[in-house]
Amino acid sequence: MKKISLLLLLLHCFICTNCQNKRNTANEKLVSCNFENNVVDLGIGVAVWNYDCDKNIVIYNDTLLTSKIYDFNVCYSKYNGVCPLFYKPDYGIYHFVVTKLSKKWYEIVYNSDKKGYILANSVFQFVDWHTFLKDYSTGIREKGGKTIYIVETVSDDIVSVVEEKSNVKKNVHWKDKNQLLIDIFLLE
Amino acid sequence: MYRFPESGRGFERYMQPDGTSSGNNENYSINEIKYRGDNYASAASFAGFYNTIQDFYNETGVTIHYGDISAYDPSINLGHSTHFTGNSIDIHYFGARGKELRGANVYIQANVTLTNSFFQHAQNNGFSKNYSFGCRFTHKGNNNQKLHKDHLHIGR
Repeated sequence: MKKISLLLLLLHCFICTNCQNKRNTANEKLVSCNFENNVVDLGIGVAVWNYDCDKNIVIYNDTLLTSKIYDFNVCYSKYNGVCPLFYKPDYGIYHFVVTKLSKKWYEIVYNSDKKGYILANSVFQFVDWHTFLKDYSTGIREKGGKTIYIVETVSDDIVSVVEEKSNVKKNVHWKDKNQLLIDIFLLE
Repeated sequence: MYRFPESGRGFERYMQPDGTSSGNNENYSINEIKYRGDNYASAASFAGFYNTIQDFYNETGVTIHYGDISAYDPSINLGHSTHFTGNSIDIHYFGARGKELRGANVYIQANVTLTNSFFQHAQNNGFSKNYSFGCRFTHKGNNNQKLHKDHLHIGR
């Protein structure tokens, strides 16, 4: 009887360890998704999520939007394994980089280098980078810097910014090819 | 800075729609070491926030749900242009009977009496840089912040 109990206990421990490992793997995936994430291609703009918790986000494999890769609800699923450029779902932020677009779809980058297609509808609004930096950011900071600036204008890879307290103005390179050179803030 | 507890008398973190804690601690790395924790507060804000919660709870019995305070390291980008020094705190709006409100434009459903009471207690405890949306609420700071449709903000 004792041997059977011990065996059951060992079996229980084995199952628990297995479950824990799987859970850790899921958490590890999430751990790599920060507010701002690296992407191999900064594309032409950003698909801004409208924070509609009643609608699922569907990512397709093709421009015909027939083959689904993911179908999930950001608000109701903790670990969906999809990491966009900006990730902060509890604040309504789940925004992808857009590399191409048509009237029907946006080509997006997720998990750093994976490409997929989302429907061009009211769930996501396409915003070009210049508009995004000027109208959607609440401030920017040079990587490694401390000073927060407000974006005034954007021209190619340069943003003209002003420091709110001192009113000092300067130009900042916001990207180098596909690498962001600034931290972008979207909240206050 | 000091890490504010995840939950206690009168407070919890933001909750998921299914009622479980979202545990909305951000993920970030410092010198390749992974950290979680977006609820670091300065000593003054820690005490002020705790006292605000207790005063509000004693008066109303309502449990508040808080989101970001600060990361331990100010260099971490939590997405905010403030929230670097442990003196800014986000809180979900309260609905009827203090229900936590989640979602894009929930300020419309917020209970004005409860919300004003919370702001008043926060002000009594040293928070004066307070934000909300829509001119419905009375408090110090700015009461028509375009980005505060889904949460209110207290700061010092």
